[in-house]
Amino acid sequence: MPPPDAIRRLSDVLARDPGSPAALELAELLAGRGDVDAARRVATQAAARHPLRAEAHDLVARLAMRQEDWRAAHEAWCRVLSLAGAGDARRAGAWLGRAYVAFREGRPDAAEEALTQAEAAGASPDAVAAARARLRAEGTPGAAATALVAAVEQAAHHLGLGAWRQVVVEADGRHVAIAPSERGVAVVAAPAEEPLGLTLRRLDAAVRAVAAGGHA
Amino acid sequence: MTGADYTGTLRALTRQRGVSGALLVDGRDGIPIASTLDVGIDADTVAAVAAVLYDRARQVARDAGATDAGVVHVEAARGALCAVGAGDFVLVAVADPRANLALLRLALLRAHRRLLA
Repeated sequence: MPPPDAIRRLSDVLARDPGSPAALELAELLAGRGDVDAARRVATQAAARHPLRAEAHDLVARLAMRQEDWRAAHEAWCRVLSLAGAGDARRAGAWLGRAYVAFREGRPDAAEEALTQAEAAGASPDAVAAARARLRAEGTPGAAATALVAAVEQAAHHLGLGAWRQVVVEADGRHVAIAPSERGVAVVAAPAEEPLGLTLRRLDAAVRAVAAGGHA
Repeated sequence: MTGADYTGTLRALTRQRGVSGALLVDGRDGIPIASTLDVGIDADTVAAVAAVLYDRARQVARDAGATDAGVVHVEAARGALCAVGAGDFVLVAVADPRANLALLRLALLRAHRRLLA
């Protein structure tokens, strides 16, 4: 647990100088004590003030991952990759992050491709092996989603419902929303506390992103 | 709950605008238990496909870290299907595009509570 006075001191520094690099240190400390919402706000503001600093986007991505905001995490990892130069260890971390995001969004092929890129970017074989093991341990949401989509298509056919637009699974603690896209399906999983309407908006955005080819 | 009670619960669902029928399915084998589907909609078919769909949705929910699925809704060009598990049963509503899915979802949850009471 970080000392409260360190957080107070950095908050004071940031209040005096909102552009201070202390923002990232403050965000790390806030995250360390479990205040991820506040940490992410601080990190996001820092990234907006310093859009060319890869470390700011790296922190935003990691915090978005902790909140399972896969879309935001993906975008932040992409910024890290566009900013971090060859040899920067953040590149490997960003590819590992993108692999996990792709996996959670039900795109195992994209996850595997990202792991390959992580290896090429210098991730240690142990780190890549650990990432693969983690994905295996968490199951294959892509496979379950594929099976559900097959059942939806079967139901739509037999009941004369026409082309399906979306399927939503509300569950205790999680929503999963799936929609067809030009390149398969888009899957969005969200905490149940997130309003369903917001989840569906994120699903729409995911469908558009996949159609635009903007997602690895 | 008797067969008449089941039917009464299903009829309450079909009073929603655009709902063309509701049925209670044994989720283990996809056999209908009670139905108020409109003429022309085959209850056996709806029951079979809905049971499979709900089973697959449960798997997706578990893979996402949940213990079980709740309401599942499918929206399509010419209608919708909503389902919710109730023990071994699955309560299913089929609707046409006139249906308000948010209201249908609430009606389904009300019917679900009646079934479990």
